[in-house]
Amino acid sequence: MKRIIQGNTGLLRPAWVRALGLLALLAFFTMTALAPEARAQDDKRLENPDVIIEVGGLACPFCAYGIEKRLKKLDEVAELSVLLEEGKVELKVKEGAKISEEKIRKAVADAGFEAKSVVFVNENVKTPTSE
Amino acid sequence: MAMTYEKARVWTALAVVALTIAAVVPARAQITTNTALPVGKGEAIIRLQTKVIRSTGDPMPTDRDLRVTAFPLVGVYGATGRLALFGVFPILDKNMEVTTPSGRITRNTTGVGDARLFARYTLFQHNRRGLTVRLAPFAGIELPTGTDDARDAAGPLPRPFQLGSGSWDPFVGVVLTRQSFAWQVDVSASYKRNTEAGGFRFGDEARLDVAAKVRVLPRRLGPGLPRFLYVALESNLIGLGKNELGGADDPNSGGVTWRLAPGLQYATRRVILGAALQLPVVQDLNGAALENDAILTLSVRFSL
Repeated sequence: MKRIIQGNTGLLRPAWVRALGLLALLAFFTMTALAPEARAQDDKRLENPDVIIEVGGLACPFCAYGIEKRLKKLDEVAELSVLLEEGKVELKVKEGAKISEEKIRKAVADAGFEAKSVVFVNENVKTPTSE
Repeated sequence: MAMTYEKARVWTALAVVALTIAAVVPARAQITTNTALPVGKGEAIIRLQTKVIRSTGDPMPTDRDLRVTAFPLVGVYGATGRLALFGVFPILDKNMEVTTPSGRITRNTTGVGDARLFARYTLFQHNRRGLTVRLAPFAGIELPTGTDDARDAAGPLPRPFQLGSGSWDPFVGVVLTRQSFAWQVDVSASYKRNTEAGGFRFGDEARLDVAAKVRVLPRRLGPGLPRFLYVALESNLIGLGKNELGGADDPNSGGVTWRLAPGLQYATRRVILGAALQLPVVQDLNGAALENDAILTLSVRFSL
C-alpha cells in the first residue's frame, strides 16, 4: 500500500514546478542560443570605425555583451563591434556627434573593464579633453 | 532523548541537501561555484537553475528515498562597475518515501525556500588583453522566507525537511577568479553562521569551492564574438557543524562532504547554458547519515 501525504506548505504543485523549470530552460535555449540574428551580431565588424578601444579583461563572449550594452547607451554611439580575440571594441559615432575620451573610459569602467587605450581614427568625432 | 538515531540520519541527509540547494549560485558563476567576473553598472542578469538531488540506499527497514528538486532563481544587478547585488529565490519540491508499520508513505512539501541577498565588491583586478584576474569579497544574509512550521497528516515535518530554516543567517566569503580565452579558474571560500529559530539551530557551514574550465570550441578564435564551449570540473568541499536542538549538540549531525562535478558550459554573448553532475567523493558525516547520490544541475543565464 502506498499513501501520499501532501504537505500544506505552498500553493505550487510539484508537477507545475517541474514543468516551469523545463519550459524555461527549453525556451531560453531555443530563443537565444540558436537565434539567427544573434549569430549575425556575433560576426559583425565595422568597416570604417571612428574610435578603437583596447579593452583589458575581456575574455569570454558573455562578458563582452556587458561592455557592448554599456557603450550602446552612450548617445553619441551609432554602432559598435566587439572583437574578442583582439581585445578591442570599434565604435561608429553618430553623424555630427562628438565624444570625449573620458566618457568612453568611464563607460568601459562602468562595464567592469579597463580601457587600456582609446584611439580616435576619425579625429573629427573627438571632443577636446576637459582640463 | 531528543531524537532517535534513525531520525538523526534522515535529518543529517536533509541538512546536506538543504545546504546544497542554498549554496551561493550567483548569476555570474560557473556551474556550481561562485566567480568574481564583472557585472556592469545598470546591467541585470537572470539565472534559472534546476537541481535534482536524490538520497537512496537506506540500510534500515524504513528504506527511505529522498528526492529534492530545486529551482533557484537568481537575479543580479550591477550597482557600479565593481559592486554587484545578488538575490537568490529558490522554489523547492521535497519528497520523502518511507516505510512505516502501516505501509509505504510519501511526505511532500513544495513552495518557496529561504531567499538570499548579498553584495559582492571587486577589491582587486588585473586586466590585459584576453585576461582578467579578480578578487572579490561578498557578504549577505539568508532570510527566513520559507515556511518552517509546516505539517501534514502524519504530523509536523522534520525541521530540515521544511522549506525554510526560520532563522536569519549571515554569511561572508571571498572569490578569486582568473579568466583567459583558453581557461578559467575560480576559488571561492565562504562561511555561514546559522542562527537559532524555534529551539533549533543548523550547524554553521564552511565551503571551499574550486572550479576549472577549459575552452574546447572553437579551437581557434575567429573574428567578432565567437561562441565558446567549455569542459568543466568543479570541486565542492562543505563542512557542516553540528545542529543544536534545545541548546544541545546533536552528535548525529554535521560532517564533511566533498563532491566533484564534471560538466559542460556553452557561452554566447547573451546566454550561458550549463550542466554538471556532482558526484560524491567523500561523505564523512557524523553518525550514520543517509548519504546523497549524484546531484544533477542544469542552468541557463541570460543578460537582460
